[in-house]
Amino acid sequence: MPWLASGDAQALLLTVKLAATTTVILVAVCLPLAWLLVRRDSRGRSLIQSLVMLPLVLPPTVLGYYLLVAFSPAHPPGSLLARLFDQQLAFSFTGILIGSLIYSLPFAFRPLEAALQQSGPALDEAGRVLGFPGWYRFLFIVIPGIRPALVSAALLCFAHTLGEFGVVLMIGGNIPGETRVLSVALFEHVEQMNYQAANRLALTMMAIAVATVLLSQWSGRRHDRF
Amino acid sequence: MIDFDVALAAPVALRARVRAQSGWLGLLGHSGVGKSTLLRALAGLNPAAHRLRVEDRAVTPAALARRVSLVSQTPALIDHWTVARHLRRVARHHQTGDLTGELIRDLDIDGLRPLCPPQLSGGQRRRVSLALALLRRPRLLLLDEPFSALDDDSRHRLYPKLQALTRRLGCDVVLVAHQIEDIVRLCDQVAILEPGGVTYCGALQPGLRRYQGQASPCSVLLGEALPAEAEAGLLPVALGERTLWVRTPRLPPAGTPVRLLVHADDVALGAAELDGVSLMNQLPARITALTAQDSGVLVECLCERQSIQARITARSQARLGLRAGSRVVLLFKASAVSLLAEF
Repeated sequence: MPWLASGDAQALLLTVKLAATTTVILVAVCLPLAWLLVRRDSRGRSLIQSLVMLPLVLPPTVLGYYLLVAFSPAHPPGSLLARLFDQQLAFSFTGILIGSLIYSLPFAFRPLEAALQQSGPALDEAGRVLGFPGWYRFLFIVIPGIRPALVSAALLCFAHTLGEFGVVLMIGGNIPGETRVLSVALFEHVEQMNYQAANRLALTMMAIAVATVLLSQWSGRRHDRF
Repeated sequence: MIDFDVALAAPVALRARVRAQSGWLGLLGHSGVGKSTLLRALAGLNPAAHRLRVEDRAVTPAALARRVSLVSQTPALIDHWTVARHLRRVARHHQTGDLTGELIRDLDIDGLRPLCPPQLSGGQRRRVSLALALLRRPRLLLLDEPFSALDDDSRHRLYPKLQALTRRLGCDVVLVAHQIEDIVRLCDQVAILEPGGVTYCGALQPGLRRYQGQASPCSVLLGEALPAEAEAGLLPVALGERTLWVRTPRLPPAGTPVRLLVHADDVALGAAELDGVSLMNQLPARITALTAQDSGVLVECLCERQSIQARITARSQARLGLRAGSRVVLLFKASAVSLLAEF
């Protein structure tokens, strides 16, 4: 008998796909955004920082509810988004992906912004003194220079998305293969008092979480040794 | 030609207009007057510069950064790159791979190639930064206290190599150095930066006299080395018809033109030559000017068509009855003379 039932294995794959996609998109967006905010001391900086931090203090169900309303085809943003993505966003993978991106945004942004604030300007100036252009300095000097923070932000973002529940449930519901992620499947098993399956899922999630933390620490130590 | 005009509002307000001949220009100025700030602006690193003109043309900081190299007091290197990677990437980006070998050899950084900047000492960091700055083949090289972390021996080995390299690459140099000897050793012209802007730009000797008039006046003398007495560490130098003795461990071959530095406080004046004294240098001279200062009287003398300054007390001046046109003898020890340049 396999460790996970086929429905749960499907939920695991979907969760990993959601977490990986969220992580890649968020790191790719947050790096230039944070660099822009660090370099330009503009008045809009605090406003953008506050907006980015909002998901940290907002209850996930509230965020999920507002997104559900926004995705509704009855309202202008929902109909616009539906036309843009050529599908209804509520109860779809794209919908929960958008929810995840917003919900995990501060977890990717904060460590990157802090690292760029600390080391970015000095690295950038070193590159400038050596005569490298701006894009080269950012890609080949600044980003490798904050590698531990980059790895930490990616792992944190990945782990945080793995455990997402409130937002996903509100936006995506529980559609197998489309929106049924690990945390929703676990909740369903507990509701049905299927504790053996719930235990296996919980242990699987625990193992992934522990592996993520160990990976993060190993990456930090490797950088220290360098 | 070194020709720039920079105006800054922050961190210090200054306007610096400099026009000088190609070569090495020493930038003199007291602490906090804005020498490093000016160099950063010239390297395109100061966004507060609201006027940047080079050779009478307005330029952007980015355009300056492409043509100007800066070696700052705390050289900026990339901590996660080895020295080898620094050299490789800079050479590739600026297409100057042909220079790498020569710079590695001349600046003696071959053994440092596998190391990262945090593993380098202060002096090694400076040498690597100098190599990288030159590897960019800049039009203008800005050196901000580049020798402060180097011992005397390393400095003296580095000077001629740097001069030869900059001459070969055809790049002009602006040098800020804490040690006035470094400026005298390397530069033929100086600019003086005072609060607000540049007040002098021109030849070395008048510039030094003007700059050091208040603080620690000194004279730069040009002569030619004569055959040395190696065991005594004494170098005779022909100063016109006269011979001046210098105590130095480095003895250049006979015939080498040399540059010497004598501090005015080390020079005494006598009415006639003295017998039975250990002083090696007694040079007849004529007084051309006397300037009263808080700390004494600065006496400007002419000896073998070269200007030498002595600082004495007002009491001594009165006792000897010194005035412009008086004949005197300049008295100083061989160890009071510094040998600065061997060309």
